[in-house]
Amino acid sequence: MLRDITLGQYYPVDSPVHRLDPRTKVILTFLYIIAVFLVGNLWLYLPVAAYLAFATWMARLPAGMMLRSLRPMRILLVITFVLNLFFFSGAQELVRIGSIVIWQEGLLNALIFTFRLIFLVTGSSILTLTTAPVTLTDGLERLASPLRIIRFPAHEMAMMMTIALRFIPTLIEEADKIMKAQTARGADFETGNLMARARAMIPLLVPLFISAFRRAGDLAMAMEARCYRGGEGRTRLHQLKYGRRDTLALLSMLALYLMILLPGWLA
Amino acid sequence: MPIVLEQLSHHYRSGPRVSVALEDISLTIHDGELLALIGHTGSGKSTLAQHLNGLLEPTSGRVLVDGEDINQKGARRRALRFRVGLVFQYPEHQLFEETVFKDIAFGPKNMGLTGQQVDQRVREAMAQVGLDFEEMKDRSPFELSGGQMRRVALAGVLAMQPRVLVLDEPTAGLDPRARDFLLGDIKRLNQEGTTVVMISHAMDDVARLATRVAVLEKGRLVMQGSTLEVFFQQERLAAMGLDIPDGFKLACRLRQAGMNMADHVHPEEIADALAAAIRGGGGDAA
Amino acid sequence: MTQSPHLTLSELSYYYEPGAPAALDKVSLQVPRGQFLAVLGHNGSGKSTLAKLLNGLFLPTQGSVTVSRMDTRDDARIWDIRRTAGMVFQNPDNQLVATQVYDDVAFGLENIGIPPEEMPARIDRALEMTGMSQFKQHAPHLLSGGQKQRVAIAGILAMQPEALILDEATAMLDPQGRREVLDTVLRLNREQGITVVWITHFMEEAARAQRVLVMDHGRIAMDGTPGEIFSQVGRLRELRLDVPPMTRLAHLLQERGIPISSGVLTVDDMVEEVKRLCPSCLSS
Repeated sequence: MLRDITLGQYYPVDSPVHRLDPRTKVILTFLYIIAVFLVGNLWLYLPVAAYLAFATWMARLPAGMMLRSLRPMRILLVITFVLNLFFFSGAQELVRIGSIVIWQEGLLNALIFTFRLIFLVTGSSILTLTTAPVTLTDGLERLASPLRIIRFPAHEMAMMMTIALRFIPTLIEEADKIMKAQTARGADFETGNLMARARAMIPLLVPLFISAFRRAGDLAMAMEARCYRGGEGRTRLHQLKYGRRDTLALLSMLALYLMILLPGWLA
Repeated sequence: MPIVLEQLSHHYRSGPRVSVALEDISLTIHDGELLALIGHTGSGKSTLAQHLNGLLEPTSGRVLVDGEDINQKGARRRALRFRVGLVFQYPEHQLFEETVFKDIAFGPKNMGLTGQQVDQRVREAMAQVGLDFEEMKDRSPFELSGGQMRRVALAGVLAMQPRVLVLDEPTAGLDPRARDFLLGDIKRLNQEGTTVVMISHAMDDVARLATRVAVLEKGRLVMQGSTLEVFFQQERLAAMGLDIPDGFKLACRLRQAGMNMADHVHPEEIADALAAAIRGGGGDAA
Repeated sequence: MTQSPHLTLSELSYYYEPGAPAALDKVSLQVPRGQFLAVLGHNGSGKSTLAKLLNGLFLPTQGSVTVSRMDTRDDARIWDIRRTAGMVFQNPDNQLVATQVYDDVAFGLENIGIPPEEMPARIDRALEMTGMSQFKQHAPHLLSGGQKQRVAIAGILAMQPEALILDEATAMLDPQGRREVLDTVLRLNREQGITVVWITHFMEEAARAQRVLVMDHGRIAMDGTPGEIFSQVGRLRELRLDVPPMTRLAHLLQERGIPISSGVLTVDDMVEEVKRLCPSCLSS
């Protein structure tokens, strides 16, 4: 039942991309997003698409999975396309239907912005599909650790994320139990307008919050009893290993940048 | 008002597989009885309890309350469901209101009763669990002790005046004294006419209170009968990982060793029988 | 090696708030190395407070607590104390930090700065000692209560403690889970010589200890072997405690004039007594 929830979108297969250091993947995703924004010419999306296809193939991810990550976005994509198509005025008319004009520039922009969204979402989903949540947290913590100089609590944030991930299934189970207990007392979570339903949540949220605070208190004591005292002096069981594979991956990103920027420089 | 389970099954999907929580359960809960439902963790006891008041719907089979299907569509459903009160494990975790009064009033209010009726119900429920009305009604439930919180939660269900009370591990986590008090309350409720279904791991509790016992194993009803009949089958219970009360275990051991002793479940009765046997010096004991 | 007491409480008092009644009132106690001590007491007797003072989670208002000759008020040694005296709490869920059993057992090791190369051996050993090796890749929320508590114990064992303090660790478990945890800890006490302080309200569990302490209103009311303690049925009732079912039966038999021994704790004990009092009652 609820106990079998797998967290996040992690797709557990073995692939060169899965085995990359999470820090590399975070940096790649970051660079990739910038690259997508640098594209101003429709044709330059070809190298981006090629790169994405290559990455998906290397990660042994089914193509359908990538398309599925777009599903929640479909309305936004349609709106982006339509708004740009009809309301972007330019110099060259393409189609005229009565008083509605579609300009060539409008069509181009519609395509550019829509593709931008598509590539952004599918590209960054590769990160979460190939990296387990705990590994990702680890990678983010290591990347952010130099920021300790400016007192950025990288370790504490990573610890918070790990604990949150650990407790999500537990809290969901508890919420389910509380909901059932209140339903047994005649509570109705389903009927009524927005206001009524919001008010109906109180018998669920109050106990859940109280329980969460109690858990936090217990957990803090248990952690202290196990000698936890923050990030200072802590060693790590899981060592992140940066290797040749990671360098190759970063070089591939360099190649993408060259493909996107060179035509502009040469022109 | 009997509750009748007719060939009740409950299957659910977990990912790609279908799991069986309950399979083909046919059981009648008689008016006024105190039925104990025992079984290993994971045997389906809690799932079964949630079918008794319609929280869960069967995959197949029926749940009849007073002859009517509890899962029928329409207005009757809610009324039927209110006849069965369900108290979950660690019920104090569901308390949420600012005062004890308001929390206990939650159930009756949801039933659509008038302010005065609600007040009456709250008073009666608090009396049934031994909470002083004037002293406790305005206190926050969260500043009470664990045992008191549990009684407030129980009162919250009793205030709905169900004809059948289903309790899931009522004494879990309580110290011996609080446990004694709670069991006393449950026994009194049963004697005053409430039918009780009690899920419990604590065999001593079962021995003290239950008139009938039903045993679940891997979602199936494998045994049912009077408390004595069920505890008699010690080997079968042991094979399922279930224990029997020490007193009963002793009686079985002594009988195996040749002592002539009648069957009793209650500690006082066992003491009487054993004392008589020892005094009689090898004779028979009744 | 001199056997100085492993854990010492010296005139220990603790007040949750100034002016409130003492949660612990001038308690003195010595626990020898390797002992299995059970602590009983009604809710509010001070037994849980005692646990938290033993590893420095709480500091004494008056008096002192010493673990292996380290005083808990010594800031410099508090982490050594917590490593020496590990603690397992009541709620199985609210102790597990990681998303996988293996990683959770590593948590303590990471905190005390153990080199990563040494961790796998320690973790595997700890899981083996608690019988949880096959669960090492499991997510905690998929385990039973008894299994979760054993993982919590493994997490402490990996740090190689000398003592284990269990604060009502079985209160929220079903009978099988309780048995699993108690059997595991009894075995650790027997085979590894780990000193154990077992706080509980289950009489049958205390009956298996070497020594039983009964707390009442912040003081030690009774201190002795299980046989000595449980034979005082009336006194225990005054202290709002119960006795094991067989001891209760022995008491009932005494009331009926049968001279049965007061030290009866288990079914076996009772059968032996019956044989003694009435050999002809039994044919075998």
